[in-house]
Order: sequence, then structure tokens, then C-alpha cells
Amino acid sequence: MIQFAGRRLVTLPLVLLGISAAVFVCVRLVPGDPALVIAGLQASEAELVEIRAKLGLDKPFPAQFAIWLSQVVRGDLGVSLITNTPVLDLIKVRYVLTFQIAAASTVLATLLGVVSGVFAASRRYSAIDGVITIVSLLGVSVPAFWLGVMLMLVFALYLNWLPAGGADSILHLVLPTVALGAYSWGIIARMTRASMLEVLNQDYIRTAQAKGLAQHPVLFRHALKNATLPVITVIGIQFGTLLAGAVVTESVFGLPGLGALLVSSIFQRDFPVIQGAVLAIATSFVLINLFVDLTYAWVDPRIHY
Amino acid sequence: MKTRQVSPEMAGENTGRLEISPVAGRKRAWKRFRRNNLAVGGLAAIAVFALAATLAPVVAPADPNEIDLEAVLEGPSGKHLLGSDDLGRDVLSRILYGGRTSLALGLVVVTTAATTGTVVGAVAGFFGARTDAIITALTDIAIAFPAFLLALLVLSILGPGLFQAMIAVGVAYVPRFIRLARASALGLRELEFVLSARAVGAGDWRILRAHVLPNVLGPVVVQATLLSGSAILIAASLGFLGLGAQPPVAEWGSMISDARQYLRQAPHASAFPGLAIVLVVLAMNLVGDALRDTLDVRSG
Repeated sequence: MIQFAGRRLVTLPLVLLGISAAVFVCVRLVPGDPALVIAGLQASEAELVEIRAKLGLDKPFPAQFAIWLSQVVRGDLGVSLITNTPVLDLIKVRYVLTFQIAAASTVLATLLGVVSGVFAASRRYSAIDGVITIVSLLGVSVPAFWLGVMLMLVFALYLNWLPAGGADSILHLVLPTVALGAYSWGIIARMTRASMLEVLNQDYIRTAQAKGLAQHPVLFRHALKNATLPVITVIGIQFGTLLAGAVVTESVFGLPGLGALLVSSIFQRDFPVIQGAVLAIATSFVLINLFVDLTYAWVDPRIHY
Repeated sequence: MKTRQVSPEMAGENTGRLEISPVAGRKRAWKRFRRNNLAVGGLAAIAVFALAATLAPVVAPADPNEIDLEAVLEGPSGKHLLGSDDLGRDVLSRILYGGRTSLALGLVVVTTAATTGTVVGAVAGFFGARTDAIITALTDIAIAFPAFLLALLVLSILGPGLFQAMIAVGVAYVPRFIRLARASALGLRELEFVLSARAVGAGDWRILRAHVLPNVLGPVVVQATLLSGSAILIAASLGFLGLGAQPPVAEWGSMISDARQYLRQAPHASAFPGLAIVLVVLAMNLVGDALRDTLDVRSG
């Protein structure tokens, strides 16, 4: 376990370096000359050269990357091309909101998903199993933004139970969380059910039942622990998917989150902001997955890399 | 005679990997697949959808771009079976034409990504050493991004558009296929039938082509089918954001986005395109599930 943790922690900076490089390269690949964008088409060649020097564009590529990286590490993510405010400030507050929604969705999806999956597996072939199987299949087949729109239609416009947009109170976060979490719930419920069914078929379960153990202890003491192992790895990936997927949900519900910022900056070609937002989400994804993998290694006694 | 060592799966361990029986079981697999009614239904639904989308010019009741400002946001009627949108265009026709975009992204892109990824991954897993190290490093970096985020990043470079969205989704999925194929190829490299092929004098490329690739195919096909569903979801999300096929081209995601402001008075304009997405993705998931159950030796 220690070796596994050690190895993962060593590769962490490499992965972070890799994703920073990928983001840096992608943004530099955009056609067009930033100097021209800033100075305008009427600018003279001398002005353009001067601006390029100021932006550091005349230096060799690796040098540009090194400079940019050192700035990022110090918290300087550049300045928005549109609003001239520091990117870090733009991102900070919005990140919190998006993170909250993604985290809430993940927690909700995990709890409900594991419970439904276990329930369905323990009552295989029953009506409730059928319902859970069908609904979880639907969950992974429905686009989150459309679910959001439909939920808004029913609960906000027709029934008026919940607000349709904005982010003033907890109530405002209910619909987005449900819309976003449905997909993850579907995945986790299906995985848990399949995993549980497989575990329940194992010999050691039959041994426990032969020993005379009642249903409950069998389920929980033996089966559940082993069944939820593969589900743990999925949770990390789902959180990342939800962080990215929040992009669309925020658009549906008019939430001032990181996703909404990313989308508007893509349309406005505001590259420092695009860079910063993508980096923030990708880094979170990497760290969450690391945490999840370490948890998995800790929980599964068989792992001994 | 093909023989194999006892894999961890056969010893009763759940490694989470898919063990596919050799190519010889294909006919038996198809018979098993046929028994799953839902899956066959899903396959039929996909066939109908693909046909309807391809033949849209013939099948659609109206021109999807025909604006009729006197019939704006009407509910389902004799003239417009699924109603009309905010510009009076026939929703049903737009859904049929929109299917083409989804087809392009869901089937074409995924097939291309699967093919490319499988070849690269199999080569990496089979040859190992430096080729493998480089490919793995690049793949790990790509997979460090959530798929949707990677697609957004690519689109921020390329700008919006259908072709650009196809590239974006492809870029997001190729690494996942590389990883899958590589894992399969790694497992197959040491098996006896490969070793005996070498002993007989078969060269590396021949082994790759004749032995490794066919056996890598199973998990790849399952994954490709399942990813087709999520590719369509991603495509629709990109369309919803306005980053996919540009107006006036009909696209399911952008149709839902356009109809949002009229949600209260004309919910049908948002509801029906969404239902189309759900039905197609559902069908793909059913088929993918059935393929996985059919081809997985363990659950046999």
C-alpha cells in the first residue's frame, strides 16, 4: 500500500505537468496573432513586434512554457482579454459554486446509487429490480441538459415548487443537482447491482449462507464490502465528469459557475480564461482520482503493487 | 488447437477485465444475443434510426429549413405531426435531419476513434518498450481530462461547427480505445498461441494482424457501442451550447436550446428532440449491454 501510494504521489507532478503542457499547447495552437488582436489591424510592424516582445511571444517555445508555468504556480493565471481582470479572481468564486454542485450531485448519486444497486441485486427478478434496472438505464440515456429543461418545466413552471434560475438559495441548487446527478446515479446503480450480483454468486457467500447466517449479515458483512470496490473507482471518474458536465447545467439554470465562464470565454476567444478554467477543472479531476485510487488501495487488501 | 493459461478470471478472481473467448465462439455468441429481446429491439431501433436519418430527404414530411412565420410554435397537428418551432419549421422533419448529425457523431466518429485507437493500442501493448512508453504517456495525459472537457478544449481551438465537433469528440475518445486495446494486447502477448505462432516463425506484424487484433476486437466492440451512446450525449450537449453544427442546420441539442425560451407556451419543441436523443441512446445502451453479456466468458 505504501509503495502504491508512493508511486502515485511521484507520478502526480508529472501528470499535472502533462496536463498543463497540453492546455498550454492547445491554446497556442489557435490560429491568429494575439498581438494583432490587441493592437488592431492598423498597427504598424514595429508596434506588433513590441507587443509580441512584451507578451514574451518572441522567445522559444519551451521558454514560454517555463515562464507561464512559473506564473501559474505562483497563482498568476494571466488577465482576461475581455475584462482585463485577473483570471484567478474570475475563477475563484465561480469554482466554489461549481464544485458545490458537482460534489452534491456526486454524493447524492453515490448514496442513492449504491442503495438502489444493492436493493435491486438482493431482490433479483422482482418487480423492484425491474424498475430500478429500467430507470437506471434511462438515467444513463438521458442528456442532463434536457432533463434539466424538463425538470424546470414541471417543477418550476407548472408546479411552482422550486425556482427556475439563479443561485440565491439552497432551493436553487436542487434542480441542477438532480439533473446533473441522474447520469451518475444510473452508472453507479448499474455498477453496484452488477458487482453485487457477481459477488453474491461467489462460493464464500454460499458458505456463509450454509453456515446459517441470516440474509442481512450475509449481505452487509460479506457481500457489500467486496461489491463496492469497483464502484469506488467509478466515483472519482463521475466527479470529474460532473465537474465538466456542470458546464451545460449551469447554462440551463443560469448559474454563475465556472462552466458558464468557460463557455462564454470560448465564444469570446478569451484564451487566458479558457486556459485557467480548463486547468482548474482538469487539476481537480486528477487530484480527486488520486484520492479515490488511494482509498481503493487502502480498502482492498489484495492490492499490493 | 488454441490453448490458454488459466487467467485470474478463471481462478475465480474478479479483476474487472473482460475475458473474451476466442473468435471461434462468434456464432454461438450471436445466438445468445438473439435471445435477448430488448437487445434485438435496440438493434432494430438503431437500424430504423440510421435508415430514417440517411433517407431524411425522402422520408421527411417537410423541408427542415422552411420558415413559416404564420405557424409559429404550434402544437402537434395534422400538418406538423410533432408541432412547429419558433420559426414555424416542422419539428418532425428537423428531428429526422438532426439524426444525421447524431449519426455522424455517434457512429462515424466512434468507429473511426475505435479503429485508430485499437491499432495504436494493440501496437503499443504488443511491442512494448519505448513505443509503449511514449504512447502510454500521451494517453495518460489525455485521459487525465474528462472527455467533455477535452472536447471543449479542442473546440476552443477549432471554433464551432459540425466537422470541428466530430474531431473534438474523436480526440476525446481515441485515448480511451488506445488504453483498452493496449490492456488486451498486453494480456494476449504471453499466451501460448502467440508463443507457438512465434515458434513456427510468424513475424511480429503477422501475429498482430492474425492473432492479437481479432481477440482485442471483442472488448473494443462492446466499448464502442456503449461509447456511441455517450458520444451522442456529448454531441447534443455541444449542440446545446452552440458549439456543434451551426444554424440553420438541424441538430437535436441546438433545437432544445432554441426552444428553451418558449418552454412554457411550447414545451413540445424542447420535449420531442430530447425524446429522440433518449430513444437512440437507450437503444445503443441496450445493445451494448447485451454485447457485453454475450461476449463475457465469465458470466457464461
